[in-house]
Amino acid sequence: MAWGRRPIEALPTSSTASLSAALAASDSADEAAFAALYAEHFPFVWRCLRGLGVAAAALEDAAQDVFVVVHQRLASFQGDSTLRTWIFGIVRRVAHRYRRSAQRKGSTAPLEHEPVSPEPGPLEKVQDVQAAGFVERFANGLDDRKREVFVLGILEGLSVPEVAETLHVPLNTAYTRLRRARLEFRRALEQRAERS
Amino acid sequence: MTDTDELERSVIEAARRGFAPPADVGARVRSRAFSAIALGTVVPLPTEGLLSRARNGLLDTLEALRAGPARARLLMGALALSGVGIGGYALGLRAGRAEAQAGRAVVSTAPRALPAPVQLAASSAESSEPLPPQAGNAASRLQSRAHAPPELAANVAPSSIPVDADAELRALRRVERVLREHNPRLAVALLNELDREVPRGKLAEERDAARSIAACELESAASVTARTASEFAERHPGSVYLPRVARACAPQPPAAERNERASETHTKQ
Repeated sequence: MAWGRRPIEALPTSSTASLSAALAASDSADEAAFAALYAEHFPFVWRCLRGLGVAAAALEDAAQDVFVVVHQRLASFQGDSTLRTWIFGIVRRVAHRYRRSAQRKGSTAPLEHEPVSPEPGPLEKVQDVQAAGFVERFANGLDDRKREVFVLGILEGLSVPEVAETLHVPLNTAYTRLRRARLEFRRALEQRAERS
Repeated sequence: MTDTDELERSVIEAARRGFAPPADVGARVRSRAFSAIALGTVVPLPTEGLLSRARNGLLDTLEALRAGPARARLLMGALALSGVGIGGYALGLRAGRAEAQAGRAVVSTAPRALPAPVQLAASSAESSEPLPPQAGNAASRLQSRAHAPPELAANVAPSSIPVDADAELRALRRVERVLREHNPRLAVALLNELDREVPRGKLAEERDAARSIAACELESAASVTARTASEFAERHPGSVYLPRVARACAPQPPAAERNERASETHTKQ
């Protein structure tokens, strides 16, 4: 039978028990720090993935991928931007991959999501779901560049300099895209109001 | 604030609430992400094509020009347009290289491929016994063991794996760690311990992957390791661990052949 290089018999009897404890201790500090980062940024990552058009069925996988990449690259984060904008850089690329993968598979299904809470609930909740659906359909109708600005600048409420820095575009470009995205959004809102 | 401003604000606020993840999803994704991290999963990220970067550079510049005063726009547009295409392409090239480097950096953090199992002189009576082919794949055979071998069970602290999701994750991290230390027997013992303590954990796929890898490390018969890999693939057809299990279960050339290949390579160099 093939064996590993360090079979269990090679270890002193007591060392494996202490190995478990030592490994647990060394893991716990890193894990706690990353857990805090996760708790703080998961809702942001989730909203952005939705806003950037990742299909509902792929959202959990995409969010998982984002945090795996964040963990892999965290050491290279220089603090030149905020952690949130740095994470968004990863989110947009993961979202791009999922959208492209969906297109390659020939998925013609609309990117809009089923309501997250299909069960009947309070009026506010229904309104929230409806608003989310409307915003999602609107964002999916934008081209990639406007959609990113819309998600960051309008949905997430980042300042224009932050948007420019996150997307690596000149400040004026960010202002221009944001203004146009806002105009289109308002037009869509008006049309929606007229229909209802 | 105008009515339109107010309407926009209220719709966006409602949409943000509507976009919020359902309550249980955060914990589920967390468990999955952390275990993927613990198991060294590498996520490939796309790099934007150079042509699309060049096009974006051109469009960005045009947008910036359009944003300025009309007169300046005309003058700068006429002067800059000739250089923008080349500049945009150059910027795209530079950014593309930077991204490619970043991509390589991610790949370099991938876990080491588990090396071929080292054939040692019989370390114990059990280790020298060939595995019966009719016993099925190594993973399921190991799973069927209700307990670790006595000498292993004695070595693993029974209280080291509390019953909760975080503990399950920590236990799997330890399993991963000992797998990387090429100690599949201890990995199996830890997995058995985990199965006893947390029989229905949330990370069944991860457990199965680790067990399959350990089983292939312990097994030398190519037919058995191939079956282990294929059965894992059947159980988890879309698993992110498939490549790693396949790598661990790939047939290894005999030691003599490996040495021969190594010496050939050395001679060529």
